[in-house]
Amino acid sequence: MKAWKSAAVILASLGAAFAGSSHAQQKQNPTFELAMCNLSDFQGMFVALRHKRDVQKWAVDGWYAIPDGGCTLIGSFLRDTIYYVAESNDGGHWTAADTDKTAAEECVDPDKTFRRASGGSCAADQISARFRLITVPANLSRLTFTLTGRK
Amino acid sequence: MVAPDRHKIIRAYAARSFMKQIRSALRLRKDVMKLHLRFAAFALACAAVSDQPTFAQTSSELNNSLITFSYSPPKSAKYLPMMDRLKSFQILEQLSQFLSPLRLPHRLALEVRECGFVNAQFVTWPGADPAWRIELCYEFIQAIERVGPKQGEQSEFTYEDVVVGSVVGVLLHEGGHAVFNMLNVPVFGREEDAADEMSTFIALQFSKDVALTIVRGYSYLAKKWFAFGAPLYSDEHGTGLQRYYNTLCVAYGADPVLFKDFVDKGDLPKHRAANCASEYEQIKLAFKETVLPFVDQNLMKKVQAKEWLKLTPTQVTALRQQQQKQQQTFSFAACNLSSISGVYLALTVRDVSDPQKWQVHGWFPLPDEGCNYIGTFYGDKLFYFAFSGNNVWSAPDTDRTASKQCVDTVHAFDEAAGDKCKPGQVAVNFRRWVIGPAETGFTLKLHD
Repeated sequence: MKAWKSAAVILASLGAAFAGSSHAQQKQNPTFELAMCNLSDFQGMFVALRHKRDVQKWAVDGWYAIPDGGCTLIGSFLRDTIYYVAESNDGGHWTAADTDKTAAEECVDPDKTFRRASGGSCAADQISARFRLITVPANLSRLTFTLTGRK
Repeated sequence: MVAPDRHKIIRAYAARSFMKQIRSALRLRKDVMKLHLRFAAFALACAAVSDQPTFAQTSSELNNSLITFSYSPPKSAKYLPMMDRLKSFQILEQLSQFLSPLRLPHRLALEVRECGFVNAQFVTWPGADPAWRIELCYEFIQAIERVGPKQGEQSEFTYEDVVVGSVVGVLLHEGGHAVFNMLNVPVFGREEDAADEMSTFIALQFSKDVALTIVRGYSYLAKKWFAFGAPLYSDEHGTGLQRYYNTLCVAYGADPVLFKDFVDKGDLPKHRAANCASEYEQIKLAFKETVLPFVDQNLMKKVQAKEWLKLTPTQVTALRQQQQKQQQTFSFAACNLSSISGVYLALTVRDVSDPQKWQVHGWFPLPDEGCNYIGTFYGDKLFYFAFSGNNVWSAPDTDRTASKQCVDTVHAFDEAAGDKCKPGQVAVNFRRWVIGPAETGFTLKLHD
C-alpha cells in the first residue's frame, strides 16, 4: 500500500451500495444471496444453515465448506433472517451461547451432509446445536458474512 | 464478526472435536502437494476412534486381506455426485487390487473423504484401525477435474487421460510413500522424488496403454498445476517442472520407443533424455533390492495380466459431462485486513455476460476487517485497484504486468477498459492477479 497523491476523493454518495451494473441492488427481491468467508485461524471450516423454506417453515441443511482464508457464495435464501453454526477440522466451533435468546436449537449430522425440516427430535447420527442468528439488512441483495476467531 | 465459543459447546461436539484434533495432530502425513510432515505421537496410540467409516475389501482373486477401502460420505452435499462417480468407477477397488501383490506388515486403508483442503496423502494415524492410510480428498479430485483441458481447448491430451491418469498416478505416488514407510525402505534423496519415481516405475510395469495414460496424466498435472506460480525451492517436493521432466525421463528411459514423442516434440530435452535409460535402471535396481522381496510374484503376474483403466462408454460420457461443467470462470471476493477503514475497490475484469470485453468497474466497498463477495468473472485473471482517502493499493510504474485504466474518483463507474479518461477520471495502475488452474475462486486480502 502507498499514499495516493491525487486529489481527495469523495464517495459518500455511494454509501454502502455496490457499484457496477451487474451488482445492482434489488430491494423488492424476496431472496438474498449469502456468501461466507473464513478469516479465522481455523482451517477446514464447514457451515450448516437454518433458513426459511417458505413463509412459515424452516429447513436445516449442511455442510458448506468455506475455504481457508477465503470466501464462497453459498446460495440464495429467503430473507430476512438466517441462522448458522460452523465448525472446523482443527476444533473451532461457532455456535450460539446458552444465554443467546435469539438462537435456534436444531439437529445436525456432524459427520456427513444432511437436510431436514426444522424441529423434531434428532436422528441416531445427529446431535443438537444452537444456531446463531443473522439478520439481513433490507437494502442488501447479497450478504457477505465473515467468520473470525483466534486459536 | 464472531469468535468461536470454544468453551460453550455441547458435550457431543466437544468429544468429536477432541477426536478431530487428535486425528489432525497424530498424523505422519506425506502428501502429494503440500509440505506437512508430522511425526506421529506414540503415547496417544490408545485413543479410541468412534467416527471411523466402514471399510470394505474386494472379493476378486486379486485380494489382499490387509488392504481395505472406503468411500466416506462427504460433509458437503456438492461432493455426493462425485462419491457416486468414484464408486461407479471402482477407483479404490482397482487400487486395492493393483496393490494386492504387496506383502505388507500392517493393514493399509484406502479412503476417499472430504478433507477440508485440497490434497491426497499417505498418513499414519496411531489409534485408528488401520493406522496406515492413503487418503484421497474429494477436493483434490475436483481440482484435477478443473485442471483438465477445457472443452474446445487445444490439447494433445484428452480430458479422460488427464483425469484418470493423474488420479491413478497420484494414488501410486501415495502408495510409494506407504511402501517406503511400511517396509522401512531406505531412501537416499527426497522421499517425494522417490515416490514420484515409484509411481512412474509401477505404471511402466503394465500394458503400454496403462503406462501412457498414467505418465501422460501425471506429467500433465505436474506441468499445468504443480508448476503454477513461483517455484517453492524450499519445498520437500521438487518444483512442478522438475517433477514433470523427471516423470518424462523415467518413462522414456524405460521405453524410448513408446515415449519417443516426448523427445521428438521437445517436451524432454535431448541432453536429459540421453541419460534416462540409466536413471530408469537405477530405479529398477532400487525396486528390485528393496521392494520386490515383498511382492507376491504369482499375484503380480495376475495383476499385470489384467486389463486396467479401460473406460466403458458410460464412464467416458460421465467424464465428458464433467468436462462440460468446467467453466472458464472464477468467483472473486475481497477483504480489507488493513488498519485503514473505508476502503473501496475497482476491478478490471471480463464479465461472464460478455467475455470478450475487458470492463472497469468501481467502486466496491470493503467492510473494515471484513470481506465483500463481489461476483463471478470470466477467464483466469483480473486487475485491481483500491483506495481509502490518500491510501492506495496499486501496481508500481515498473510493474510490466500492470494495467493502466481510468477511474472516476468521485462516482461509481462502469467503463470499457482502455478508453481515454473522461473529465473527472484519472489513470491509475491496476495490479494483476492470475488465478491458479485448480482454483475456482479467489479472495483478495488487502493489508497495510
